[in-house]
Parts: sequence; structure tokens; C-alpha cells
Amino acid sequence: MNATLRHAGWVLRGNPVTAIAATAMLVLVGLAVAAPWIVPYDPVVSDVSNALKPPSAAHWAGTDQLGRDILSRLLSAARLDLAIAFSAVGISFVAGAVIGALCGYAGGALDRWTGRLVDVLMAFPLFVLAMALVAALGNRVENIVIATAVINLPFYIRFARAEVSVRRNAGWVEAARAGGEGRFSIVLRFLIPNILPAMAVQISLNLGWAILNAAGLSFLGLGVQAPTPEWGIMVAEGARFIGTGQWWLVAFPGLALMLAVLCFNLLGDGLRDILDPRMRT
Amino acid sequence: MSGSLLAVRDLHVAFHTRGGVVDAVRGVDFELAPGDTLAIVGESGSGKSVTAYSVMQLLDRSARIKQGQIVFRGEDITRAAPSRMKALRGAAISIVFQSPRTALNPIRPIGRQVMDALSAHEDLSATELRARALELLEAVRIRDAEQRFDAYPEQLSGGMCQRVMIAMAIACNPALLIADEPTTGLDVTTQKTVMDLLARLIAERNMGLVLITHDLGLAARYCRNVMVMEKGLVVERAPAVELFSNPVHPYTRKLVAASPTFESTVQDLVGAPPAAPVVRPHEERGTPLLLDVQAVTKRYSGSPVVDQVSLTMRRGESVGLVGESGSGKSTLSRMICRLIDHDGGSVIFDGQDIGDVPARDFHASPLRRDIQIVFQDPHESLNPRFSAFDCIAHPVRRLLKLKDGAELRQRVEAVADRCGLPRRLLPRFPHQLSGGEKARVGIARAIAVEPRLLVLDEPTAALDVSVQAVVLKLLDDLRRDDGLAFLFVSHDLNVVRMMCERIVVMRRGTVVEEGASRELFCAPRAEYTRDLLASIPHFERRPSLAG
Repeated sequence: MNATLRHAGWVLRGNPVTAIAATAMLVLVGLAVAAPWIVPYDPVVSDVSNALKPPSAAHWAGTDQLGRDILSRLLSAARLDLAIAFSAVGISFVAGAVIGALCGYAGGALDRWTGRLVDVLMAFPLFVLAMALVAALGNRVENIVIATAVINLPFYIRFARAEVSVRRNAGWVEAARAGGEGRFSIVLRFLIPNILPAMAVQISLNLGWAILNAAGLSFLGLGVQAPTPEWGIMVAEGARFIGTGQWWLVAFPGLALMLAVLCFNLLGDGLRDILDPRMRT
Repeated sequence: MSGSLLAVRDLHVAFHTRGGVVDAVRGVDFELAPGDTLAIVGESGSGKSVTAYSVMQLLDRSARIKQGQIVFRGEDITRAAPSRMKALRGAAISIVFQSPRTALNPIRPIGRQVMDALSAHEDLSATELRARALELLEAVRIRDAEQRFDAYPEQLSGGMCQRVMIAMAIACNPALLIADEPTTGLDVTTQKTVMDLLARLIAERNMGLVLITHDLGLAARYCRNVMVMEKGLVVERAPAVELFSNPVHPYTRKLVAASPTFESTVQDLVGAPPAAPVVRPHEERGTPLLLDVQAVTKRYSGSPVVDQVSLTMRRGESVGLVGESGSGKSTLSRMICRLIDHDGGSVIFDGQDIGDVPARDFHASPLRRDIQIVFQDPHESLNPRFSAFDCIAHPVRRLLKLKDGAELRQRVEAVADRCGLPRRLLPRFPHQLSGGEKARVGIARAIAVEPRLLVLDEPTAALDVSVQAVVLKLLDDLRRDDGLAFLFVSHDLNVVRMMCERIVVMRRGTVVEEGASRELFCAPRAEYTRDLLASIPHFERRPSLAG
């Protein structure tokens, strides 16, 4: 554990970009987790007398058309959006890694059929597929998670399958078999841990994408519903006020969205270096 | 100095790495006259390749030539501009790389690649280029060059690919050829044809040759002078004949001693006292054979890789399985280990037909612990995410059902001690261990569950010769003291002769000869065995290019 931390420290010192992204990530996650306790105002209680006020000392990011504090709403929204992204990517990673690794190791009919299914899934425009899923399953947060997980799944399956099939005849896999390990535990305990570093990049990129996806669905009125604070809804609602000069309604949620996605994307490469034991010396 | 082709003076090369600056080459001097041959011999990490690569300016980006001078035909090329090096590379200095398969472009026909090498330096029309390329392919003895012209590298054998590489290297008649382990990974008979060809071409065209190799026999046979490097320093240089008959430096002596010859024993390699004769465990009448392989066959896409091969082993016996790549020896050993299924015949272990259980379910068989295997490449056979301790403990946990605790720790430590692996290395990960240490982990893992049959699949093929000597000594001790039965798979006849009482020679999936080691060596019956024996490069003989 200590060695891992030391190694992480070394990677971060060598890659200032990763270090900045990691710090920003930690701050963002910290703020999101602490949101209910640190927000200066209740994010859903309206105060019409204070509506559409520009950023000030009292309201750092201004107020919206119902007089709600935008900063409080941003922080509460971060909590929801990150939760959606993490759980959706978590589901598709676990399911995708297991399915893909099993296919890559077993080959044969299982591999062929799964491959075709994945092809079919990928033939749909993915965002439209997600919209259809949410529309069919109902406008609930769980369904956004499910839809986002489903459209990410094919990438994980393909990735895990490819990474496992180059390793399945490696000496250490044969050695594990000679050491009495069965097929399933070879996949779960030997192969999947070894493809983790490569998958970390995919996970990180996907997190950014999942946030965009959730925000996009809400922007279109699917999924999370007003008045729940959510970045996509905030942008959608704020868009009506751009023409009249109340820029802060869209600018701040848009900025938050952009920074979050950027962080995840920048983090990817560094994460792989941290997770790969061979990078340690 | 005007007479020298290449002069390297006081060369220092350093690598800038995470751990700081590493001096790879620390003051190398040598000179090569036109048409002369020099072998740079050393083990991995000795700086031999770095020296040669600095001449070509093909060093890694993290490497710097700190001081020294490289003079080629009177011109200082130590820090020559890239454009100048481009003009020299291929035209005046060429290199033949290790592993020809990866050095050739896989998606371009071989004839085209030879044409590319020519057109880089010579202004010829397309038809002239093609004619010259064909000539070159014929010069490197590619049969049916006309038909093979449009073949892709994967359609040719490894030896053939190396010949194409040589054709490309000599295309523009360079004055200096650098050959970096040109035959590593090739079979011993192929090695001989490739090296003979190289030697002939060099003599015909009066090229200078720098041969980089870890194989003393090869150096002695094909080069006039030999330079021995250790840890970036030249420790000894002498004409080949002298160096091997009378090595002066302790390191050279160790290397010469560690190289197996026709007469040496495992004990000779490491300078240990002669061992007592093997005591075979007492066998009562009627005990079944330890292993009785009857006419097993394995087919891949229709064609048999192993064809009706039979083999028997008694308890505690060590049998060598020899053959070139594609002979089916590895496939046979994996069928015996029950890692793959056979398509016909039977494998009987200690009276039980173990072919009944499919290979993929054999991990649950009570006989799994009795048949263990040591894999070819120690670098590739350890799980990168397991520490050395976990690698060794894994089969103990799975097969002996030992839970984590003092008993498991004791067992792992005992077996590590047995294999000469220091206990302080146990928490390390494979990439933090040297090749020899990894080989010990691989052996410790296999013997940790006390098997009755140990299959060794080229256990030393990826190791330096001095490390090989130590690992062979360890294996020999295990065989003598613990009465383990060995099935020793190798392409190296000398090694097999030292380790085994009986040798089985395979070729193209069948057994061509079988017999006691001594007799097989002294009086080989099959022509193929004679070829194999004749191809082993040897330093007792006079080098063919010297004089």
C-alpha cells in the first residue's frame, strides 16, 4: 500500500497535468460529497424577490429565475451527476470486464455470439439508444444510470476481450492452470487484475462521457426533472435567459460540466501509470 | 590509423533513467580493419549492444554518449548529423537485428523490402531494382527466389527471414556489418546455415564484421578476434583461438567454464566437485511405470503436430526431449502435463489413464500436484501482479489447500531456500527480479507441491550462460537429492546430455531416435541426430574464419 502511494506520488510529480487533474478531481468529489452541509442556501427553495441577480458577495454565482442560489444548486448537482456517472461506469465496467474477459478466454461460440450482439448494440446511435431506454423505462435517476451503463457496455466488452485474448496463452496463465486454478478463477483472479491498468484509461474517459450523457438526457427533459438541481437542467433552463443578458445562469453550470469532463479525460493516462505494477521500480 | 575501418576510442555511454544516471558503457576501445571480424561477447547488461548501437547512432532517446570518439574510415561520426548518418546507414554501415520476424515489415513482400533497401541509396530503375533484389535473394540462398519475391514475412521460416534481413543489410555493399545476436531464437541447424552464409558473404565482399553475441561457441567459430565485456567494461580481448584455450580474466574464465561442451558435467559449469551417481528410488517388481505415453497424436487444423508418439519414464528417471522448433516437443510436453487434450492415444501416469479427464478440468484432479511444469521464459511465466511469495504460494494454496498462515509461509520459505532464492526477495514483484531469480521462482513454484514428475520446457533458453549454469546445477541437485523424475525439453543437446540419462529426439512430430545419452552422443544412429550434433557451435575447434 505504501509502495503504491509512493509510486502514485512519483507519477504525479512527473506529470504535472495529471497532478492538476487529480487535485481538481479530489476537490470536486470532496465538494460534491460535502454539498448538503456546505451549501450556503437551500438549492430548491425559491425566493422570487431575489430572482436573476448577477454574481455578488451574497450569491457568488448569482441567482436564477426563481431566486435560487446558483452556487448551491451547482454543488448539489455535482453530487447527483457524479453519482450517476460513477454508478453507470461502475456497472458497465464490472459487467463488461467479466463478459469480455470470459469471451476472450473461452473463445468459440460464446465469443462469436457475444461479438455479434455487441455489434448490434453499437450499430445504434448511442445517445438515441439511451434516450429510447429512458423514455421506455421511465424518467427516473436509476434509469439514466441503466441507460448510460448499457451504451458504455460494448466498449468494455470489446476492450476486455481484446486485452484478455492476447494474454490467454501467456506462460503465467498456463502456470496458474498447472497450479490447480480453474477456468473461471483464472479469468477473475488472474486475467482481469492484469488488464486493469489498461482499462483505467477507458474508465476515466468514460466517466467524463457519462457525465455529459446524463446532463444531455436531462437537458432534453429526459431523466432528472426540475426542480432537482442537475447541470443539464440548469443549462436548459438558463438558456432562455442568454438573450436577455443573464449569462450566469448557463455559464456556471456549463463551466462546471466542462471542468469535470476535462479532469476525467486528463486523469486517464496518469491513472494507468499508477495502477501498473511494472511501471514501479 | 588510416588503415582502420572503424575505431572506437574511450567510449562512454550513459542512460538517464528514473533511478538516476546509469553508465552502460564505461570506456570501450577497439579497432577493426577492413575485412576483419570481431566478436563482442558478454551477458545481458554488459553493454555490448549499446556499444554497437552507438556506432549506428541507434541509441534510445534516454542514452547519451558522454565521451569518446567513433571514427569510421577516418571520419568522426560520434555526433554526425542525422543527414550524414542516413547516408552512411545501409550504404556503408549495416546492421542485422535480433529476431528477424519483428525487424521485417509484416505487410510488405520480402522482395519489395530488399528493393526498398537498395533504392534508399542507389538510383536505379524499377526493373534494375527488381533484378538486383532477386540477385541478392539468391545470394542469401533463398530457393525459388522468383516465387518467394512476393511472399510476406509470416509465410517464411525464421531462418529464411533472417536471410532476407542479411540480403537487405548487404544490398548496398557496406564496408561494415554489425550483427546483433543474428541467430538468437533460431534452431541450431538453422543457426549454422545462417552463420555459414554470413561468414561466406563477408569473406567474398571483404566486409568488416562486428558480431554481438552471448554465445562463446559462435564467437569462436566465426570471428578472428574476441572482446569480452562485463558491466560496460572490456575485460579481455584476444584472438579467438587464444582466448578460449587460455582465458586470462576471471570473468572470461567463468564464462568459458559455464558454457556446456561435449564433455562437461553440470558440476564443471559452476566449478563444483563431481557429484555422486544418481540413486534411483527402490522399485518393487510390478510397480507401474511412472509415465507411459502410448501413441499420442495431436492435430492442429487437420495436420498432426505430434504423430503417434510413445514414451515411457520410470520413477526418478530423467529423460531429455530434443528437437527443433516445430518438432512437437512442446506440444507433447503440454499433453503430458494435461494442459492440452490429445486427439488419440493415451497418457498413463502411475497406472492411471489421465487422458479420461479433459485438460480443462484436470486442475481439480488429485494427480494435478504430481505433474508440474517449469516454463520456458521465466519473464513471461510469472503473473506480473503477484509477488514472488504469491507465485510460489499459489499452487500450495490451491493444490494442498493450505490456508494463509505460518505453515504456508514456512513451506514457501523452505522451497525458496531449496532453490537458492534469498528470502528477502520474496515480497518483490517479477519485474523487480533478475532473469536468474525469476527462473528460481518458476522452479520453486513447480516443486512446492512436491510433484513426482517435473516437466521442464526449455527452462534455461532465455537465460545468460552463467545463470544457466547455476540453474542447471540447482536442477541437477533436485534430481539427485530429491529423486524427482524430469522430462527435460530442450533444443540444446549439450544441456540435455548433462541433465538426462536417456534422450528422445523428435522431428516433425515423430520420434527419430531414442537412447541412453552417452550412446546417442557417441554413436548417433539417425542422420538428423548427427546433423544436430554437428551444428552445435564449439570453441574447441579452430574458428573457420581465423587465419
